[in-house]
Amino acid sequence: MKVVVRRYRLALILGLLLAFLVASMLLAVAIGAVGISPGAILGMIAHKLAPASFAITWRPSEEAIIFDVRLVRVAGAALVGGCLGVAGVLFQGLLRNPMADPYIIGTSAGAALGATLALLLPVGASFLSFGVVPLAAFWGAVGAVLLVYNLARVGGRTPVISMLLAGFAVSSLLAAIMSLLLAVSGGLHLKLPAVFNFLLGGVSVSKWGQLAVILPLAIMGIVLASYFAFHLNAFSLGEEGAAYLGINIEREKLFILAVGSLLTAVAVSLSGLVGFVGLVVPHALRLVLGPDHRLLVPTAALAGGAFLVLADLLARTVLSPTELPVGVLTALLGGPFFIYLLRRTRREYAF
Amino acid sequence: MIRLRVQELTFAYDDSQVVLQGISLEVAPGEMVALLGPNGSGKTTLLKIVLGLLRPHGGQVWLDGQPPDSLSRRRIAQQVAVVPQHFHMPFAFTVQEVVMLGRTPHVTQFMGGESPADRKAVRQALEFTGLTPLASRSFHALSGGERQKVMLALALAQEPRLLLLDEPVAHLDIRHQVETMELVNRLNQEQGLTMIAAMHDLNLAAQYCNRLVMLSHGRIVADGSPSQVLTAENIQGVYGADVCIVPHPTHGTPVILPKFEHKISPQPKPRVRS
Repeated sequence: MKVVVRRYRLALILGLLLAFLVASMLLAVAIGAVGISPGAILGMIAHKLAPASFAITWRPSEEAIIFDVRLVRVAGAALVGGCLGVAGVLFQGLLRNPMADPYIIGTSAGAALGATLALLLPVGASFLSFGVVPLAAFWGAVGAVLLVYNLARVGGRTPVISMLLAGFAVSSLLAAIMSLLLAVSGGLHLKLPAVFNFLLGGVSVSKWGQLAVILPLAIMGIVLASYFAFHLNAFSLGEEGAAYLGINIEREKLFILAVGSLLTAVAVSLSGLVGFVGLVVPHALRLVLGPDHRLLVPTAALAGGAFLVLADLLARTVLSPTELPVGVLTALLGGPFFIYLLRRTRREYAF
Repeated sequence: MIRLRVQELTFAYDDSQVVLQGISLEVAPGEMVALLGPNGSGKTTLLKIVLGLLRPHGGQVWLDGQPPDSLSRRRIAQQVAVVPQHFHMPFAFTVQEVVMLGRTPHVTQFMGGESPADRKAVRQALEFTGLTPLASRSFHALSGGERQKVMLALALAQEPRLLLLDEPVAHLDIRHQVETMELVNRLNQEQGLTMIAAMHDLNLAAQYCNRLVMLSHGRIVADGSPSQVLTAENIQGVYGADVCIVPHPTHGTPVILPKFEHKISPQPKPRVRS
């Protein structure tokens, strides 16, 4: 019995979280300026999947609102949240530091700088340029994470204090460069709302084409992260301890940093700088499920998705009709949580 | 069990003087060897070269006839385990989960799933170290001595043929020092596991290891039984400490006592408590 429970524990947890994610997405799709009943939404989805089986009881405009406006945004939010959650697990595991998060350690800023550069490039067709943005964001994220990692490391460990300082310094520098680029580039006033949204973090997905480019990258990142999650458990003994357990640490480290950067880049190209998701989600999961990275990686993908879908829903309804950028909301929720963690672990950086 | 051969090993870190100069050593299967020597004498460096983590500048190492740099890290870890001197665990794993980390080099399952062989090895390692009752406790809730035993259990779960210990009892109280050394000794006696332990405590080394190798400035200055190696002259020469050596009252093995230069102060009068 016990063995059976253990064997199916992962499947059970993943099933529950998947159901939660789907329910969050349905809720987020149903709520908006135009009221559409959940029954009608389920009908629309069933109709899309099997057109013959369901009679149409809704207006075409309602269907357009659901599929072309709301669902695409909700799906984008789920994707961003999932990627940030997994990236948080990867960076926390590798840095052996439960306070790491793509936003805090400067990876997001690097990705944002890369994405800004790509946006400013005079590339023609929007679909093509959208393929360039994640690529540039990826290299920006890799550069930032390598910089922070090497600055923050003290004798094989990454103490909280040096990680935060390095992350802060690198983030500020990159943000300043980004502002400078925007200021000197022509037509800033035309792009200002978009840039503002990007810096504060807002899910700005409006075309399925965007998701079609991004989704395979996100899935690739999450699958790779799951596959190598058990190496992160070995890394919790430190780099030397991991080497004793047969891990080729130099190669593995680069690999984990690359996958974490890929996931951050995916998230940033869809939503700009959304902070603290990668901090809050793995933490909550660790409290419930324990620190085993084999569990944390896939669960963080689902829970992170649900978290950001709900946060985005709150962001666009709480001050309706004004839309808050979701990054503002996650910072309002995650900032105090981060300060709480910092207080709790203050022993560790008091040296 | 494994046969280790080290020949004419030299090594230097980039920025300092030579750490090892011409070390030659052969450890037969089933031997339990203590590496002695002051800080900076090259003990830890030697262990890291044996593991293939550092590449020697000159000389050769063979693990059962194979140089470690011809083997993958995983292949080495399947044969050689390490009990480190320092460890820091940032996450709240349970004891059992920490010991399971020892199975990392043996993982064959998709996504690092645990096989029955993995569970069996962990169960046996917990049992051997007496940690079974603590298996589901958080590693963070343990004392230093218990944590050291968990690290030993982790190394055992690795099912190694050679066990390297780096100062295994350095920070422990006397009870845990003895308990840990008893466990290590039993492993050697019952399972014939080959072991090399870098040690600071000469007395514990003399009681538990039948072969001592003393290093000084990257050279082997003595190699033999405790009574051959632990002489007042060797200790004076290597550590610069003035000692006298007496036989252990029950075992007859050498026990090292420092000579004092100061006058022994008079015994304090017993205090009468009212």
